[in-house]
Amino acid sequence: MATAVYLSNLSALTVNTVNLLDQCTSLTFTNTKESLEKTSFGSTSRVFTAGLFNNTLTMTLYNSFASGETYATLKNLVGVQTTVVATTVDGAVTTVFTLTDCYLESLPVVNGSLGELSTVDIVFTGGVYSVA
Amino acid sequence: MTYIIVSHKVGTPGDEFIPAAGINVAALLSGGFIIESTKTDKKPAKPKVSKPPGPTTEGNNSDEE
Repeated sequence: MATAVYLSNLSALTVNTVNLLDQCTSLTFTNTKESLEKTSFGSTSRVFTAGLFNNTLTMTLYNSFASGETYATLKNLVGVQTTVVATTVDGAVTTVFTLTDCYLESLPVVNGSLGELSTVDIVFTGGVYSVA
Repeated sequence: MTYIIVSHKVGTPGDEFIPAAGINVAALLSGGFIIESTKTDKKPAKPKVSKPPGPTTEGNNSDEE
């Protein structure tokens, strides 16, 4: 039996300072340092060392074309850098994860299926990761 | 250049918006979340300088003989 668990939830989520917490249903924030191989003859196992940070942040949002909502927030961020901040609360522990100067390559502007609520899956890449 | 918050999604409407590092202000303006403030900085009026009292022109009371 696990001794410490955490019910997935966020207490705050901002994209370019816009609060999108009430639109988000899923978020994955991954801190990645690229691996560079330095294996050489004589080694019996592959060996890697750290390269550049290459962080990613993916999220699923309910889409909305209303003023101040999902589309209005993201439409002008395609192809530019921005900052995303996600805050988690686990009991008495609050942790703020920030990805500064991350890049949004694409935005699904229309995504819908018959009988379903429209959602968008977006990916922010790169940027500087910090946690407080 | 100062900005005013318009949308409650960014903060309290009417408050001044101070962009943090990494924030795309142009996107917020285009999305209608903030607006540019139209207030202009007024130069303060010149303060009135009161002249110190100068020497009197009355003659001395010395007796001249």
